[in-house]
Parts: sequence; structure tokens; C-alpha cells
Amino acid sequence: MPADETTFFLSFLAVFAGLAAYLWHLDRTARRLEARLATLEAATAKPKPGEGPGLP
Amino acid sequence: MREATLAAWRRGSLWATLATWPVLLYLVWFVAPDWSGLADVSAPLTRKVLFFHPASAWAAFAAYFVVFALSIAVLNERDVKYDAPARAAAEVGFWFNTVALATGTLWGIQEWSDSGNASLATVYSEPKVLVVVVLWFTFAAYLLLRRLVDGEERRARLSAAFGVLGFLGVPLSFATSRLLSTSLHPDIAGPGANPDAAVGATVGSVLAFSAVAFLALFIHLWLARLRIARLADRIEALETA
Repeated sequence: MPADETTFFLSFLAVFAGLAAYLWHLDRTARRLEARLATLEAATAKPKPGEGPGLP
Repeated sequence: MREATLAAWRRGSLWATLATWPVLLYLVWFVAPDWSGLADVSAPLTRKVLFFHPASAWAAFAAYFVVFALSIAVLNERDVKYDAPARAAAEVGFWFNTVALATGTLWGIQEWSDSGNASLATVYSEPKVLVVVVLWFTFAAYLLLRRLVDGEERRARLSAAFGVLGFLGVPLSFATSRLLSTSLHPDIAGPGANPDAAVGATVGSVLAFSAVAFLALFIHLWLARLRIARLADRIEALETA
């Protein structure tokens, strides 16, 4: 049987490390998707009249 | 849910989570009773897991109920708009379920060793634990299924059917420890709770607060996961345009 302190420490670690890892994973995924969306939106944005290369 | 409403809810849930968790830790360390020195308590420090283990299980069950309700909506209304929130709730519920299983396993090995049953096999052959393990595998399969099935509508309908069936494990886990006399797992609250496992007013209050803190965290994680789904949808729409 493990010591009382060891069991409590491991349980505490399971709660906080587990949920912190999940929060970190969500945050990282959201940032990556936001960057990808910004790139795509910039690439597909239509140029306003008077902007961009003129006709030859 | 519109983007602005979703953002407002996400901000609110973040503040609720940030406010409740330091209070919970204070209550667990300084207000909840210190069980050391009591003759019938073999592991007083481990007993503090009481303020994390049931609340994480309740948060998982709340998440699975959300999956159940949204899955019914998918099947009933034949509308895939409920599918993304259901998937987000399933993923968050699966994480809380993992935390509940990990803490419960450690606690079970420690507490149930009094009767000479200090093995992992004893913990995992306990009826309630076994049902929760099956629940964990069911929702792991639910999340895996979503990666394997092609077609938005087909995936939504299959996942919904799986979500409804998977939720049956939640009432079953409540029933097993209450109905089976061989169960080692104590029930501290609700109908059929063990009289010898009943908690006092102070422990009950901290326990109720921990349930609120975990529920706030669940809502925050769910909304954060939902935001990721929305971002992925917008990217897919732009890429296929």
C-alpha cells in the first residue's frame, strides 16, 4: 500500500496536471486555428476599388 | 449560439472558473476538517480527494447528459447543428471521466486496502468502478468513431445514436453501488446513500462548492472546445470555397 502522502500527491497531480494539460491543448489548438483563419481570410479578401494592380 | 453570445458566455465562464478555484483550494486546506488522529481513518490526507473525485465524476456525468440531450435533438430534428456542441461536450466529459478514474483508482487502492484488498484488480472489479471504466471506453469509442466516419450527416447520426446509448452508463453507475450489496463504493449523497458514509455540514458545504467549481470549469472547457469547432468550420468553408 502506498503512503498516504504519496496517494494524495498523485491524486492532486491527476486533477491539476490533467486539466491544465487539456486547457493548454485547447489554447494551443485555438491559436493555431486563428492564425490559419487569418492567413486564409487575408488571401481570399477581395481588393477594394482603386487597390491592386491596374489593367494594362 | 451566435459568435458574440458564445464569446460573452466564454468570458463569463472564465471569470467564474478563475473565481471559484482559489476559493475551493482555500476551503479544502483550511476549512474542511483534518481527519488525522481519528482511529477509523487510515489515510487522512488522501481523504481530501473527496473534494475532487466526486465533483470530477459529476462534471463528466453532466457532460455526458449534454451529449445525450443534443444527440436526441440530432436524431429528432434531423439537424446536424447540434452535432458540434455534442462532440465538444463528449470530449470534455471524457477528460473529467479520466480524472475521476485516476483519482478514484488511487483512493480505492489506499482506502480499500484496510480489508486486505490493496490490488488494482480489486479496484477495477468493483461494480461501480467497472461501469465507469466501461463508460470511459464507450466515449473513447465515440470520439474515435467520429474520426473514422465520412460524411457530415452520417457521422452526426451515428455519433448521436452512440451518444444516447453511451449515456445509459451514467444511471447504471448510480444504480450499481446502491443496488448491489457487493459494492465497496460508498454513496455520499442522493437517494440510497450509505448512512455511515453521510457527510457533516462543513464537508457537505465544501463538497457542494467543489461541484460548483467543477461545473464552472466544465462550462468553460466546453465553450472553449466549441470555439475551436467553429474556427475549424470557418477554415473548411474558406478552403472549399
